[in-house]
Amino acid sequence: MPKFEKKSKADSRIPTASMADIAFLLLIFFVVTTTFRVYKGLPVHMPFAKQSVQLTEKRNLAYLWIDRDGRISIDDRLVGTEQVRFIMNAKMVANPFTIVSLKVDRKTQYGIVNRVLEELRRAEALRVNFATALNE
Amino acid sequence: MALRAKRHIRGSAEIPTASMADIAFLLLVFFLATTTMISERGIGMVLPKWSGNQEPVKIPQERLIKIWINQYNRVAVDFEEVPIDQIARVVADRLRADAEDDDIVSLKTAPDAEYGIMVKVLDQIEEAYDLAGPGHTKRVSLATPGRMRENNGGP
Repeated sequence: MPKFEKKSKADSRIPTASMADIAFLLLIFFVVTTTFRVYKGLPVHMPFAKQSVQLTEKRNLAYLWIDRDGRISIDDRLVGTEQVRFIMNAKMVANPFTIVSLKVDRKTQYGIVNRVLEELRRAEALRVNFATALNE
Repeated sequence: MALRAKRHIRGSAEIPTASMADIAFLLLVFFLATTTMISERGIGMVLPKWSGNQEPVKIPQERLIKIWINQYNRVAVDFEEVPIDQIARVVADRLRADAEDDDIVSLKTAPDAEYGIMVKVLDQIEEAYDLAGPGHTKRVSLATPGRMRENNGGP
């Protein structure tokens, strides 16, 4: 019986030597995956879509906001339609893998979006993504 | 004497590792708190290259699946009005009927239509390609009526 007691005492200690290793492992994971939100953008209500896919290449994303009044914002600056070309062209030169994420309000008139898409084509920023929300 | 001095140096050269876990956890909590895990979703497309003032390529009418959205946010597939949630089924039927796999879905949206409706229709088109099954290459064209140049694109 006393033998049994001794055994249980030895087992009840949690090994803490590897604690730091585990913590550092998690730490490195979060350091690598963290992308700090740089821009605030404009307040928009995203359109809904079921077939949307999750974005994984966050580091290659360039954001473009259009609110319901048709105001366009890139890098927290309000820009005109004709400026989109130059800004996005500069972004494409800096990173040829840029994907333009269009965060457009669902009440925006499509004509504005179409003009922006044409500007993106002129800037050769051909990979675009229409940002959507999942649930109504 | 010599032995003692050596021992003293050896004792102080050790890095204290007891607080290592604390430091690691502190940093861990910081990065946990600052990580934005809000998942961003979207519908991806690749726009066609800017062709300048070139004449657009003529596409035979029978290869087009024409979807129109008018300024009152109503949708028609091949000139027949369709409720938005039925578009996937109608377009999927059209895609299945296309044996050569060369059909192009042309989505023309009036400039006064809502963007949210256009995305809903785009969502339905994506669903239609899912319903139609494999063997159908995604070819979607975005445009506004009256403009000859089209934003042809596929995902």
